[in-house]
Amino acid sequence: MKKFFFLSFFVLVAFYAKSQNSGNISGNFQVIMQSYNNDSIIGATQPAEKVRLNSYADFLYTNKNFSAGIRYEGYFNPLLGYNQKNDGFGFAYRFAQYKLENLDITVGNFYEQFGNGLVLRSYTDKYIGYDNAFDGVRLKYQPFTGMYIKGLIGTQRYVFSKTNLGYSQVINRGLVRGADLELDLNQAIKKLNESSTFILFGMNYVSKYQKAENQYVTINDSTFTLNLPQNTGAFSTRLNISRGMFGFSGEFAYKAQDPTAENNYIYKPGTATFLNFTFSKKGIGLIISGIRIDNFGFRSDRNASLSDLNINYIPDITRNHIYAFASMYPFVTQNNGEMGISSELTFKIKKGSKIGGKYGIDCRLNYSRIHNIYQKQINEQTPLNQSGTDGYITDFFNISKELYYQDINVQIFKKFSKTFKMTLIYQNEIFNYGVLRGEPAEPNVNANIGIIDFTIRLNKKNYLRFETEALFSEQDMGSWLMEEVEYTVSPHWFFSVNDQFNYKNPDGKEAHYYMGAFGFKNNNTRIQLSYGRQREGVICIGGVCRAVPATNGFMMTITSSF
Amino acid sequence: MKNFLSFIIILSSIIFISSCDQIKKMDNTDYYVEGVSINNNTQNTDSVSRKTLLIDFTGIRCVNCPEAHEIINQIKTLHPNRVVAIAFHGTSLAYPIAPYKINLRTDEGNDVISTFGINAIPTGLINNFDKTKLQERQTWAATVDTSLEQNPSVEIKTFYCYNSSERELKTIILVRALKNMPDQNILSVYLLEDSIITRQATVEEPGYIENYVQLNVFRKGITNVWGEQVSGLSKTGDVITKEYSIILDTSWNENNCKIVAFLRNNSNFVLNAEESQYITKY
Amino acid sequence: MKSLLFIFTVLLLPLAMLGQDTTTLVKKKIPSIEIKDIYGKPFNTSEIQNDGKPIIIDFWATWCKPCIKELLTLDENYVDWQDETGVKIFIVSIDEARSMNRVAPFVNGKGWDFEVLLDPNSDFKRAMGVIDVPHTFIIDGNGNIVYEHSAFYEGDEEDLYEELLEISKKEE
Repeated sequence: MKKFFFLSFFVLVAFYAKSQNSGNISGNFQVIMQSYNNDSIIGATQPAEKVRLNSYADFLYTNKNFSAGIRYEGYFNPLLGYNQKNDGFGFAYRFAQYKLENLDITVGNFYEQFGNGLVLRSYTDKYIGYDNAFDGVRLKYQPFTGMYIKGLIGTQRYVFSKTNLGYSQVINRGLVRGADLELDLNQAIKKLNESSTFILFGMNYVSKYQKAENQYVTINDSTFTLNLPQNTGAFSTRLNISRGMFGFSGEFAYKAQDPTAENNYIYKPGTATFLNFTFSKKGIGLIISGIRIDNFGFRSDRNASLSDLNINYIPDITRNHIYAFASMYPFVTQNNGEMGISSELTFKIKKGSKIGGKYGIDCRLNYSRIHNIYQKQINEQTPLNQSGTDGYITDFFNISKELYYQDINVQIFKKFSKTFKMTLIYQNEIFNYGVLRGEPAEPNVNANIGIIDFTIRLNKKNYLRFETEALFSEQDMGSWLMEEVEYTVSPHWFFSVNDQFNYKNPDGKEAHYYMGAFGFKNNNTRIQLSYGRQREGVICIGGVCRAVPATNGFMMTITSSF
Repeated sequence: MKNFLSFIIILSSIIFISSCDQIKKMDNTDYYVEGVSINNNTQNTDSVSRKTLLIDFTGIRCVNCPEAHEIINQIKTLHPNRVVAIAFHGTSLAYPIAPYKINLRTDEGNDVISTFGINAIPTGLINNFDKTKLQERQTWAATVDTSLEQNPSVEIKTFYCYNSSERELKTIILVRALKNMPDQNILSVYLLEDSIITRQATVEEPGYIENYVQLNVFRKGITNVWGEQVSGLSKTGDVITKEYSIILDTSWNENNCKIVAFLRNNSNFVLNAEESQYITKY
Repeated sequence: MKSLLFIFTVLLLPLAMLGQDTTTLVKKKIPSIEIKDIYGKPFNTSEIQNDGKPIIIDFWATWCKPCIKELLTLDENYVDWQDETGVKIFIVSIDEARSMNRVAPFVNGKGWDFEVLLDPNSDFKRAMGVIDVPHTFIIDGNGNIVYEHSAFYEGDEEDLYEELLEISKKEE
C-alpha cells in the first residue's frame, strides 16, 4: 500500500511540475538479470529459481531551491554474489532538500563525505553492492565566505528487506551524529585572496551511540561479560596545500575505544594517517601516497562485518586496474591495520619527437607496497588481539615484516596512425592470499602479467579491437591466457567474444571461461546481453570488494536515464 | 538570523562533542565483568524452564566457524542446561576436499541450507526456523539472553531406549501445553552426534586445526528435517506423545549421540526445545 | 511475474512523461551542487560557464577504460573543436579519496587541457542522473542540457562532434 502511495504521489508531482513549467523530473533505472546453469567444471551452481534479477529506479524532482527524490529497489531474488539479505521490492531511499541563502537542509536519506572519508563517508556503488546511506537530517551552512559547516544525525542503511518492515533490519541500530568544518583560507582570509598558494583546512568530529548488549569473552577458561562503551567518538583534521606544480594533502584521524566484532573486542584507540604529495605540470605528473591504518574500522553497529554499516571509508592507495588479469588479485583495505606507500608517475613523450611519433606516447609507472602495522604483545601472558584487553602495542614509525601486497606495473599507450593504436602493460604482483581473501592456509600469490590491447580503425564508424592477456603464477588457480575480440559500430552496436583459459592449474582443473556479448546503446539507454562462463573472483572498487561466484549462463543489463 | 543560527550550531556541537563515553580511560579490570549482567535466573530446577534453540550453519572449511562454535560454548557455559544447539554442516565450505576427509554434510541439512538460501557461513537461527531470522554470530549472545527471559508455553520431555546389537534407537517425545495456544504446531526431532574429530579451518595460523572436536552435529532427522504437523495442544495441560524409531548408521559413535526435539508454531517460532543425554546413558 | 510488473510500471512513467510536453523535459539545467575543483577547493556546479558558448561535461574515473578512451579522443580533437565552436570541456572525476590527489597528476601526465572537477562522493553524478561512467552531456549557451550519451565506443566522438556543431550553429 505504501509503495503505491509513494509512486502515485510522484506521478502527481510530475504532472504538477509540468503544468507549472518550472519544476523538472529526471531519473534513471537499471535492471540486471542473470540465468544460472550448473557447471561442475568451474563450480557454478543453479539456484532454485534459475533466473534472478536486481532492479533499481531513481526519480528526482527539482524546482528552484527544492528537490526531492525517491529510489525504488526490487530484488527478484538478489543475484548470486550480491548481499542475499536484500529482498523484496519497495522504496529504499527518499529525501527532500531545500536550499535557503547559505543553508541547505536535507531530510530523509542522503550520502555524505567528510574530507577524505577517513571518519565519515556514506556512498553507494551497485557493482560492489555497497550502500550505507544515512536516514536522518543533514544541514550544510556557510556562515562566512570560505567557511563551510556540515552537520548530520541519523542511522545507516543495512539492507533493503521488505519482510522486515522496510530497510531497517538491524536489531540494535547505532545512531551517528557528526559535524564537519572546512575552511578555504584563500576565500576566508583577505590577504590570501590573490595568493597563488592554495590552502584548505578541515576538521570533523563524529560520534556513534549503540546500546550495549551482552558479549562474552573467555579468558583463562573463565567466561566474562564485556563492558562495552555505548558512545564512541572519532575526529580528524586535514590540510591541503598546493602551489604551482606542487601539492600536499594530509589527513590524520583518531578514534576512541571501540571494541567491535571486527577488531575482536579490543579497547585500544585507533588512528589513521593519509598523506599525499603531488607534482604535476603539463606533460608530467607524480603522486606519492602513504597510509597508516591502526584499528580504524568505524561502524554504526559493533557486530557488523564485511561491507556492512561502515561509517567511514579507508582509501585504497593501490592502483585500481582496468584489465581483467591486472585486477584478478586486487588489494582489499584492511581496517584493522595496514601501512603502505604507493607512487605513480605519468608522463607523455611529446608529439613530434623522435620516439613520440605523430601523436606522442602516454607512459605510466606505478609502484605500491603495503604491510601490516607493527604489533607487539601487551605483556607475556596476553596474546595479540585478545578480547577484553588493549589488544596490542604499536609504534608509529615501525612496520611489520608481514607483506600484504606489492604491485609494480608499467603501461605504455601509443597511437601509431589514424588506424592503429596500442596499449602495452607489464605487471608484477605479490598478493597475500591468506590475509586479503581470509584463507590463512593459502600461500602468497606471485604473478607476472602481460597485456597487449590494440585497436584497428576500419572506417569512420567501424572499429576492431584485439586484446591478449597472460598471467603467470604457480599459486592459487595457476596460469591464465585470455583472448578477446571486440567489434564496435559507432554509435550503437558492439559485439565481443572472449575466452579466459586457465591453461595450467595446480589441481589439474584446466578450463576455458568463454563469454560472448553484444550490446546496443543510444543516447539514454544501454542494453547488453552476454552468455558464457564467469570465473570465481572478487570485484573491488576503491578497496571495497564483493565476491563473485563462478557462474554459467545468460546475463542481461538494461540501463536508461530520462 | 545569521547570528542566531551560528549560536544554535555552536551549541549543538558542544552538546554532541560531550556525548562520548570514552574520554575517561577504562581501567583494565573494567573491560569485562564476571558472569552475566542481564538475566540471572539461569538455574531453574523447579518449574519448567524455557530452553533456547540455537541452530548453527557451519562447515569444516569455514575459517570463521570455530569462532561461532566458541561463542556457542560461552553461551552454554553461562546458561547451563538452558541452550540446545544444532550444527548443520553444509554449503560448499563443508564439502570434504583433501585433506579435509570427513563428510558431515547430510541431504536433509543441505535441503534446509538451500531452501534458506544460505551461502555465507557461519550464520545461525535462535528460536526460529525461518530464513528471514538468520543472525550473525556476534548477535547470538545478546539474543539468547533476552530469549531466556520468556516463559515457556510448552514442556518437552525426551525418553529413549537404545538396542546396541541392532543399533536401533526408540524414542518417545512428550509435549505438554503450559497455556492455551493455537492448535497446529510442528514437532522436529533430530539425532545429533558430539565429539566428532575432524580437521577444521580457522583464521589463525597455520589456517587449520588438525584434531578439532565438532559438537552438536546433525546426523539424521528422526522426524523429517522440516518437522511434522502435530495437533492436540490447544488447552493448558494437553499432552501429546509421539513414538519414533531409527537405526543408527555404523559410522556414528552411539556413545556420543543424543536426541534433540523442538516444537515450533506456524510462524516458525520455536516455543521450546529439549536435548536428551547420550543415548547409551540412562 | 512481480518483476515484469515492476519493469512495466517503471517504463510507463518516463513514457507517459515523454508523451507530454517534451520541451519542459528537455529544458534541464545543471543542478547546483557543491563539489570540488582540481585543488580540492569547494566549487559550485552553477559556476560551470562558458560565456554563452557550448559546454561539454564528461563524467569519468581513472579506473574506467572507456572513459580514458573517450577523453583521449576528445583531447585529440579539442583544439579543432574549440576553433569551430568555442566549446569548453569540463571533466568530472568520480574517483574517491584519491581525487584530490591522483587526478591532477594523471590529467597533467597525459597533457590534457580540460577543466577538471572532482566529485569524490558522486553528489553531482547522482544529481545528473548518471548511473555509469562514462556519461557525457552537451550544454548549450543558455545552460540547458541538450544532449547526453552514456558509454563510449570508438568513433562516438564523431557523433558528439556533429551534435556539437548543430548546437553551436543554433546559437548563431
